[in-house]
Amino acid sequence: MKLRDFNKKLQKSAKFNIPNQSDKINFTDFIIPKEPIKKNIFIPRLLMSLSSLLLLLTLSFYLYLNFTPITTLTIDINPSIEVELNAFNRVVKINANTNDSNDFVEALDARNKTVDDLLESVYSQGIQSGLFTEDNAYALVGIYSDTYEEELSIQEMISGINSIVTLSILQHDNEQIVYNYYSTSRSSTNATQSDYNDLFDNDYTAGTDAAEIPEGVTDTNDYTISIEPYSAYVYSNMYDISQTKLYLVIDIYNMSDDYTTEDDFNYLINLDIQNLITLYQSLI
Amino acid sequence: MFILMESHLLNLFKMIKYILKEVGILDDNLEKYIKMFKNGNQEAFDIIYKLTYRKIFFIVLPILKDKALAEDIMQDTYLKFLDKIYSYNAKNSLAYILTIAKNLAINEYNKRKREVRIIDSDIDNFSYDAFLELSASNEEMIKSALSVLNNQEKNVFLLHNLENLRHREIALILNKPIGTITWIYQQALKKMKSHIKDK
Repeated sequence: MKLRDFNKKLQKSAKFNIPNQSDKINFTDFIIPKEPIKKNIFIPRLLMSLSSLLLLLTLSFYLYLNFTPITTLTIDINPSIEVELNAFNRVVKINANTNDSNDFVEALDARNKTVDDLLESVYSQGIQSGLFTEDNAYALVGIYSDTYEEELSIQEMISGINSIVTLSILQHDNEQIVYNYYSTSRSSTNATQSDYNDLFDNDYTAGTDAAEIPEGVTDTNDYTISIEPYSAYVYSNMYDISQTKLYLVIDIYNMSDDYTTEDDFNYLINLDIQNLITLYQSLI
Repeated sequence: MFILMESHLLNLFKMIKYILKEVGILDDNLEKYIKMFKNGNQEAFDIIYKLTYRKIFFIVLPILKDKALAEDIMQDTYLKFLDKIYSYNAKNSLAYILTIAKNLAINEYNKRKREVRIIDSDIDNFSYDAFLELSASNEEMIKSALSVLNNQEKNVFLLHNLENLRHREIALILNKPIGTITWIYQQALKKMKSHIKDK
């Protein structure tokens, strides 16, 4: 016989006869009557639902703010990169802006970094890639945001960086030339490169025949250039530089009497960032 | 095959229930019913009584060795417990009730015998099987099987296998550490298995 069978027989055939005499105890004397508390379950449930909803909304809003680009920075250090920042000024996305910057972007670990940490990473990566030396690092930073205040706050952050000499160009400071920024990844214009001729198209002269002037380009004075915002995207692609560098080159070209020809313009386009910044600073 | 599967499933559920009870996760929750009683729920007392009266009996019986007297002390225990129910602050109410029962039983014994006795050593020499009621069909077989066990082993075996008490409850009743109870139970099982395997 197994123990299990023995236990079954034990349970069936044996018992301690202990009577349940609970009815003989008069426990009612020990009960202190209490007023039943009417619980209003509606209000706690409503509060819980509302707080859950609020939590969900807060979380969604936080995620929205965290993943939605608010500000775009272009950073030119000869290769050019484009960085998208969220509302907390942290990096959401980083793109290569020109053909020569893909390797640099791939090596740069910038996700979720603040602007100053990002520039420190750019500095370290620049040194590793041989773009900078320890005491010779220049960057041209274009700041494109919805509000001027936001751009100023980022400019202030950038100006605190000591390792890199930066020149910041704000979108709202150049509103006459640029009042919107068209990212290479989200072009808002239908215009394509083939719609435009070279900035220095020899077929037109200022004021002679308006029909011959390429759309979006005006040569307002002798040796001065201004471009419409929607064509800036096409021209920066044409020259394979960032829009920020294009604006800086146009600014220098317009400000200086030393540069008057297409060759001069092309010279400025091909100048590296360090020399462009130094040149710009000498003109202002 | 279906019946076999059903029996396996039942065993599995029993095993899970046993493990949960042993580790104290699945508990009858005496504290919950005491709280309900304190809040004026009269039905809660019947459940408190049902959850505790047999345990009280088993702690009182070895001291008084008299079934009728043990039943009286059992009732007195509840009256005393009810008297203190709003003032005591013990976290383990079962231990509190059993302590009341044990003290009342010792007082009663001293009142009757007018002598001081070492209770714990008496409990070791006491066996519940004298108070066991057996049906005639299996009486001989059960008595023979229990006879291979010593008094302590019999007590632990009967409380666990017949009364379905947990080891920690038996430890409270017999006033021994749980480890000792487990050890005694294992010894009892070994002896019992070897005795009944040839039957």
